[in-house]
Amino acid sequence: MRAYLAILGKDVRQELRTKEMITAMAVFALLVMLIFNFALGIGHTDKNTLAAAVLWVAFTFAGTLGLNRSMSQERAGESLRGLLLCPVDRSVIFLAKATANLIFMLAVELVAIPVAIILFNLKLVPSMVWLPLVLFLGSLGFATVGTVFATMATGTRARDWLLPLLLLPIEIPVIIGAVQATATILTGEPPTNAGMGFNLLVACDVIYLAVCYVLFEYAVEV
Amino acid sequence: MNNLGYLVAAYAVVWAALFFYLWRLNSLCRTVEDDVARLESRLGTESDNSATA
Amino acid sequence: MPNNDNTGSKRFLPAMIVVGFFGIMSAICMVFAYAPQERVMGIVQKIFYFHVSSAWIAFLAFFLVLVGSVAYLWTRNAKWDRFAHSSDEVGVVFTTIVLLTGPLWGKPVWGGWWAWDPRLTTTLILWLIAVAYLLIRAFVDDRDQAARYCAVLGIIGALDLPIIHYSVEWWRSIHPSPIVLKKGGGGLTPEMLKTLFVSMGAFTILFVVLVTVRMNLQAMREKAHDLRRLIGQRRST
Repeated sequence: MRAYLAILGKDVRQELRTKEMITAMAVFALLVMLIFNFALGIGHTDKNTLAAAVLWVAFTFAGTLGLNRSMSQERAGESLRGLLLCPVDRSVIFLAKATANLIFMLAVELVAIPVAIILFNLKLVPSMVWLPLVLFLGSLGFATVGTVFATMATGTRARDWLLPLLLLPIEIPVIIGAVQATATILTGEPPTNAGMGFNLLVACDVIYLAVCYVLFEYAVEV
Repeated sequence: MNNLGYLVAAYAVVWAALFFYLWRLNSLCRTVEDDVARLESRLGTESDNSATA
Repeated sequence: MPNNDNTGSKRFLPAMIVVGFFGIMSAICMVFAYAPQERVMGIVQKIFYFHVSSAWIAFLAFFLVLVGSVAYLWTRNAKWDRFAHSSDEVGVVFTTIVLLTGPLWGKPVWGGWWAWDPRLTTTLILWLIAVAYLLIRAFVDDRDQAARYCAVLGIIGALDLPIIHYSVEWWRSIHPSPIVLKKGGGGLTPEMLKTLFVSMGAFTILFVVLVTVRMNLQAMREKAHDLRRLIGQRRST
């Protein structure tokens, strides 16, 4: 019994000293609530929007996980440093890494879609041929900012929790747009009928790509 | 005069937050100022010591 | 209060503090003695003056974070980094005030603590980004690396804010609020408007004071850190 209390006391006191972990956990919990709120929309019971929301929340967290893993592997193996020593333009490195992350996300999504169709009993509508486009646009919005932030986050002490904290607030417009576009597809219409949602997605992609293309070199300086 | 409690609470939040932050900044400033003074004098004495050594 | 090295700054800060103090006193007087009581919302509406003033400062602060971040990446002058950092930290204080006073105003007026209205929601996201900025500072030990990372976040975050605001606005139009936002009475009377401007002005001065003090603190901290390192080096030789 005494050992239990002693060890418990030590852990609590250690955490109280810096409060780093608790802060990160609290902010993360807040972020999850935020993401779910935007994906779901309060009081909305439409099955298609619900399915779209679940899909994109899943992609968000899976994507974040993947970004984290790919960048920490890079750092652990020192291959990032090696890459930076090559006479390659930093922006090219960014494009290559972002494309790789994009491909990984798309691979996962293409597997997840059939599973979702089965689990949620989604109707197979011809507008689903638009799905790859929306998946691409949504994932692109993640891959660009995600690559920059993952590069930064894995260079810090808190490499596990920092990436979602940095990335998710920025990704909210992408999630909002992607969920609406996907929901529109599931109801049988082309995603362009999602109105501003689709345009929002495209606009985000363009802006994020341009800004990250420029800023990546500052994130990766040695 | 309904909802007076909310008004009071809101004002308490505003001024407490600002005062607390200002007070904290101030005490941190004093601590760091003392630190810098201490370190500077230590640097001075140590270079004297190494000069005489 | 710490002193700066040149005498101009020595006079600046105390002067600003005095002006700021009078500004805030005037604002409070005007809020309670000059501005009329709002018909529909009653006395709770008086929160509005400092809630909106804080919001103004919160977004101003983050805009300055953008300015400081760009300037830092451009010039690599540490002063810009201290400016961005201080602006962000003070901004977090004001943003927190907005997020706490918002529900306190909303509950009696709208009937609910939170209504996902675009402005407050964007402020919440701003808070998250600004806090993430501070977390980077906490979790990165190397000073230059932290400055760089924060600058990148500052730029991306600040540029994203209008996009976020717009997307939440659009999302709101599709998912209407279950809480009926009772239109809070009519517009603002000229007295209310004047009071609001005085409050915003007073808070701006307060903001300048806080950022200046914070920047001085940061400069001192970095100096202490450098001195410690110097002593350590001397020891080892």
